[in-house]
Amino acid sequence: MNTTKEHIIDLQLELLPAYAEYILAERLEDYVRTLYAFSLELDIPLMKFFASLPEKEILRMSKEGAIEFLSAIRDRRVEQYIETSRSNWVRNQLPRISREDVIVEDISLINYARKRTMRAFLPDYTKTPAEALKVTDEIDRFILTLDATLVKTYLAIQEERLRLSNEQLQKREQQLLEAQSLSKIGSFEWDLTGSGKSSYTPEVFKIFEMEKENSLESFLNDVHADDRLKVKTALEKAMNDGEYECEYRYTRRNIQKVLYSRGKVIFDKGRAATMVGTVSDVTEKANLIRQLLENQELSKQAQALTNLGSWKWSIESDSIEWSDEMYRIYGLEPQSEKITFQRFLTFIHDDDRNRRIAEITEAVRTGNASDYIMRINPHRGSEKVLRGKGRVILDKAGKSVGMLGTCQDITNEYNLTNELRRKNEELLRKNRDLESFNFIASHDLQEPLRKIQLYSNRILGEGGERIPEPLMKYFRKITQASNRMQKMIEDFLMFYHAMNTIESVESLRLNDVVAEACVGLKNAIEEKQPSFTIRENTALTGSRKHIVQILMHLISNAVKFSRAEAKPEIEIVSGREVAADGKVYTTVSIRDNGIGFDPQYATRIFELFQRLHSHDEYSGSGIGLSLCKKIAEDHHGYITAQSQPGVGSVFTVFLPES
Amino acid sequence: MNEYLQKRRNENVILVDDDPDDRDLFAEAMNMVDPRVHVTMKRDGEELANYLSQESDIPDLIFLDLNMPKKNGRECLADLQKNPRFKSVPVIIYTTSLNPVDIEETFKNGASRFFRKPNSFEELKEILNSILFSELTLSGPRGKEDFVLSTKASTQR
Repeated sequence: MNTTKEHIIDLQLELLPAYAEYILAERLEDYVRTLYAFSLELDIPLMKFFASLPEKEILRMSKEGAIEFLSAIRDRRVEQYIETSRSNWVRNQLPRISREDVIVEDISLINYARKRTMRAFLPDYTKTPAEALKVTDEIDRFILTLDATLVKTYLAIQEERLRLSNEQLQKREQQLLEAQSLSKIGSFEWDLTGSGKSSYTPEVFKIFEMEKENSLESFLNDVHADDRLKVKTALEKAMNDGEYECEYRYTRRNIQKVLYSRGKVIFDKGRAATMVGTVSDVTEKANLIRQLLENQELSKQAQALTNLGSWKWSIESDSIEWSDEMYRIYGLEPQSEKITFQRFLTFIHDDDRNRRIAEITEAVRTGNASDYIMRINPHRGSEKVLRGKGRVILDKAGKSVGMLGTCQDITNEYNLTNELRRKNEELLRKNRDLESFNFIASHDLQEPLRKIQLYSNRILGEGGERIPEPLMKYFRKITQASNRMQKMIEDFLMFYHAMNTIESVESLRLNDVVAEACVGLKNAIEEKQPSFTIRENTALTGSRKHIVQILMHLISNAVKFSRAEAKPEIEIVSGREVAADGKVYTTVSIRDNGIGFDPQYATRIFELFQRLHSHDEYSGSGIGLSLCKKIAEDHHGYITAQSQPGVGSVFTVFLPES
Repeated sequence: MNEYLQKRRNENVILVDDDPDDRDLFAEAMNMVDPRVHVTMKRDGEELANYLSQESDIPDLIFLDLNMPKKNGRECLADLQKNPRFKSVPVIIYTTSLNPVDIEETFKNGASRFFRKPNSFEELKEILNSILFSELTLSGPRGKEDFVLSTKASTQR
């Protein structure tokens, strides 16, 4: 803003410095008073900033200014003076006033006052008209230069102010737009006459998912069908009373939104001209509110579903707050009455009341509440069993001021548990009965049978020669029948002992368990000489004792039911199989080339005492396979049988892996 | 001949069994195997205890049924083992069933042998014969594998 060098006025002063010297030396007081008088006369606007000061002070300040001014002229430092004045102003270093307080009138009036004051002492200074003219001219030149410089400065200051406020304005507008974008609010001026121009902030386009202005019809088309009438009605109302407000659902480019808009209609000569307003995207807020409502509803439903109610007891006010479900548990309409501690006690079962009071008293005393179970007689309905959890509320001092907790109707659960306990006791009793039955079977049933066998044998052995042959045959039949019965009882006992005795399972090598099973079948194997093929693809998972038992029965059957014309061939294979439900089984199958059976009996052969052959064809009690089935099932597995008469059978045991 | 029979002149054997038929059959069979053996019959554990408390002689051998009224064979065995006077008397379990639990328990509790009442008189004689005249060592340590006595006939059954 260096403007001083631009002017072309010559500031080479010849006579003025001497004149200034004269005023400084001889007329300074007069000069200051005259200047002050002129300033008041001219009513310089700037003077109002000094109005509060006493005249003496104003004069003192004026004197300082005058000395400075006149000294600069005397010392021929006018250019420096002008520059100092200018820079003090620009740098806002004026006494008592700020840069912006100076207006253009101040400059011309002050300088006019200075010019007049300077001239005032000229007649006393010189009587020479030529000298007077010369001094006057120098005064004018100087003041003109000062004036021009200050006006330019003034303009520059104003220009800068304008620039700054412009910048600020732009900044504010930018901030507004950013704020609109952040808060998803757009503002608009919507022309309603059809001849004017509408304006929108960029956010408006974003909110409406549009690139440019759209027609009202097109806009309404994007409003949710169910909200269209609502928007139309709100707009019509706004055209009448000027106020527009509406929340509606809006979909464009497959984006669903909830929008909220407010506006004011500006009327021109009674006709609606413009609507100024804002539109905001409240989708998130609307969703949040919807979710909150849903959650509240869910929590209510959850309480109802689980029969879980919540309660809060304030000791001081003797009031108990119950959730809706609590009222329902107590057979009352939700929030139908105020609950006090005494009222609460009336519901509790007579046999539980004192205990519950003692528990609550203890909880309040210690600050620790424990879980509780109590019976209540609800307002409506029959006795209920409740289970609850509570917590003591303590104040800052650690004193108990109340309790809060949850409570659940466990009547059904409680009854079921009782029922289960009763059933369990019954089962235990039945098991004990079975134990004694087992004892009877193992001892008392066998006792007379043994006697029959023993005495029959004695008759056969000792009186053999004296008994006629037909009678001998009958005795032998008695012995055979009693032997069979004994075998049945023994097998039955084995079956009984196999029940529920699986204690632990281990990984078993097929070769080991087969070898162990064959030890017990030594006689039968020696007699029939079967050939064995054993293929171990995987280890078996099971209880050793029981798996050996299964193999014994299955191998024994394979040997027993061999065909007379074919040497028995037994193939034992282990493997792994994944069932339909994803469960993994280890399997062992025993295949023979024996007589086989009709596949229609594939299930029946596993039933207790079921036989497919008569006793004189094949011996057996009909327990072996049911025992195998039992053991497989005790392992949580199963057994299957496949067969073709005259070709052979395959029995496969499935044992769950781990 | 068995060592203890060689040492003793008056063979004194007790049978504790509640079944009269079995007692008769046992006496009959014993008489046929060795008529010198004297068998004292007791019907249950209580009778045995009373008898032993009064008698000054210590029996050479006790045959013990397991399932009896009043005091059963398991209790008798325990009592005998606890009593220093009778601790060394061999006890042979003589019972109806081959219950694995009974075999396990009586072996553990110090019985000498276990044998099942046979289905024929011949078998009974065979077993008694083996007990009296074979080289069986009834007292002292015994192995689990020869704890249960059997005959050829009983293995086939």
